Amino acid sequence: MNLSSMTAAKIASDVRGGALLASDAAAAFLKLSDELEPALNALLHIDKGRVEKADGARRGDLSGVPVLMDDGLCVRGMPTTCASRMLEGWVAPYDSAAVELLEASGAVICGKCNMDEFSVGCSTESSAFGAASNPHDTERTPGGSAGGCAAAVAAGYAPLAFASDTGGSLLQPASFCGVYGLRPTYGLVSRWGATSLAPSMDQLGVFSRTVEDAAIALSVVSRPDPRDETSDRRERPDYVASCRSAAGEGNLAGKRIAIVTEVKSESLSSDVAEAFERVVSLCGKEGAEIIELSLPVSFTYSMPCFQMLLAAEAGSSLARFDGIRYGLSAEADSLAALYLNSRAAGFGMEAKRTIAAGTYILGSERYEDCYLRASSVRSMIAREFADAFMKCDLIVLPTTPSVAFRKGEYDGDPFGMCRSQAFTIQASLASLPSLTMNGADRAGLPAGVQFIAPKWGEAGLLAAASVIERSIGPAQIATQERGR
Amino acid sequence: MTLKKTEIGAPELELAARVAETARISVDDEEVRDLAEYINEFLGYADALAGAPEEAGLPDPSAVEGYEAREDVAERSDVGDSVLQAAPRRIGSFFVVPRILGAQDEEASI
Repeated sequence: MNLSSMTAAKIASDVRGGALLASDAAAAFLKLSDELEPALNALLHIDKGRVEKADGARRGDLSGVPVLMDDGLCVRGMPTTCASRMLEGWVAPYDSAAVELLEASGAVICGKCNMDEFSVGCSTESSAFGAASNPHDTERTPGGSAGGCAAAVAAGYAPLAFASDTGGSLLQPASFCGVYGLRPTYGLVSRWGATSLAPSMDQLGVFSRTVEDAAIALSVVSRPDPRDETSDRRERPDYVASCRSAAGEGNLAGKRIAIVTEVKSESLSSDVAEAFERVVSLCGKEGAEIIELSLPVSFTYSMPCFQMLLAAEAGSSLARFDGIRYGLSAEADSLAALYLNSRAAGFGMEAKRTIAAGTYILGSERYEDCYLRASSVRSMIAREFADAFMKCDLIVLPTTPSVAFRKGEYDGDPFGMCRSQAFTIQASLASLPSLTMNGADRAGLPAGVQFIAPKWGEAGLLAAASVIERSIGPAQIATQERGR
Repeated sequence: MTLKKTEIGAPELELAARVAETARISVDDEEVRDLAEYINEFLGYADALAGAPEEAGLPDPSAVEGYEAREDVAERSDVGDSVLQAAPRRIGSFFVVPRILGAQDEEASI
């Protein structure tokens, strides 16, 4: 039995039924990560104590399932560095809401994953602890910011990993590493215990190797939480039932799925264009009516709009790291010097650039034409998507314009690297759920295709993805693929 | 969208130094130049936004409009001690910072 390719659903079922020991599942994680980490650097911390104590005694939907968390999420007793020198050595004194719910459902939190420093970046190269690698090709980036999570799930360390997505931090690496990635509606999953980057867009999501696992994970973590004031109280539907019912004999008859006219095939790499055409064709074969929609504001102004809001909010969020309350504290003989020196020593250059840009556009000089203008355009984008969903059930898009790029390819060109998230920022700006899957039909690098659904439309999104998954299959373990 | 790059001169360097000071980040000359170049290119996004339709109007008031929010009541949180334990410097139940007023070689707590 190959534990690294088992789904979360199968592990939990076997642990509950007594066919598998939770300690065996956890030991498989340790063995595989020990073997592959020198090449991947996907993890920043392994909690051997938690792993060795895994006994499956707690019964639930994720009994004995090894789970990994992005290093921006607090796990009591584990270091939480956000891949930054600023927080090196800081140990979280409490659990994030997602961790509480996961552990209550029997999951074993095995460790923390590498990421771009404070989630600023698209390649995991801005991590203060070294870049992570893509398990499909270690010369390439796994994407980012949550590249460590994507690489870990693609390599088979664990069937599930959780991270925050601000503008593609989850969707883009899932696409680059060929796994499923689900960014839920803003407000569905509590962010209590998640380090904020841009709080009006940050939302916790999950990496998995099957749609069913994503549905199980979502059903576990999507509980209302008064500790997060954006957590919505509405009742959640049964995501797992929707998914299983569709996976059996469901189809897409009666569904309208829109492609966006502004996304031209010439702006995509050939492998992405091919994957996109394949998935659209599968939608048609399953009975969906494919229509074309124009979203001119969303696909012309999203990038400047997103970058403005990201910088402004990140500049404010990262102001809390002052050398006093947590993390790095530089020697200084005055309070001003304490701030200046601690932040100079703690932040890497990517974070400093974003903070500087955000600080500038929030000043009186540029507030109106930058921050306020971007906020207005964001409202327009949200309305454009709301209108679009009056005409269709889902929108299908390539997740990224090209496959995973090489490490160092965008050295000195951070604006160029941002373009890898050209199609993942819209869902964030409009607070919508999105699910990406690998649409590539041949060996080689994965090419993600995403479905965007209306707000709170996760049940329908997972059901549609389950139908397409019948043709596409589960995400393959990357290192196994290489060995074939 | 390609952002435009312009030459960096004294005004851009001065602006970057001022912004870094406002953001409370100490920077050397090389970093000032880096930030000046970055901010300069970043402002290309403002030029791009200027072309957006005017009917954008004022932004909607909230990202969570229409959400079923929790009741707005205060709750006691009992994490003070554990948060303080993770601080770099502390005395009793206080965070410690350099002295703000008076002698430079003494420390004060907040």
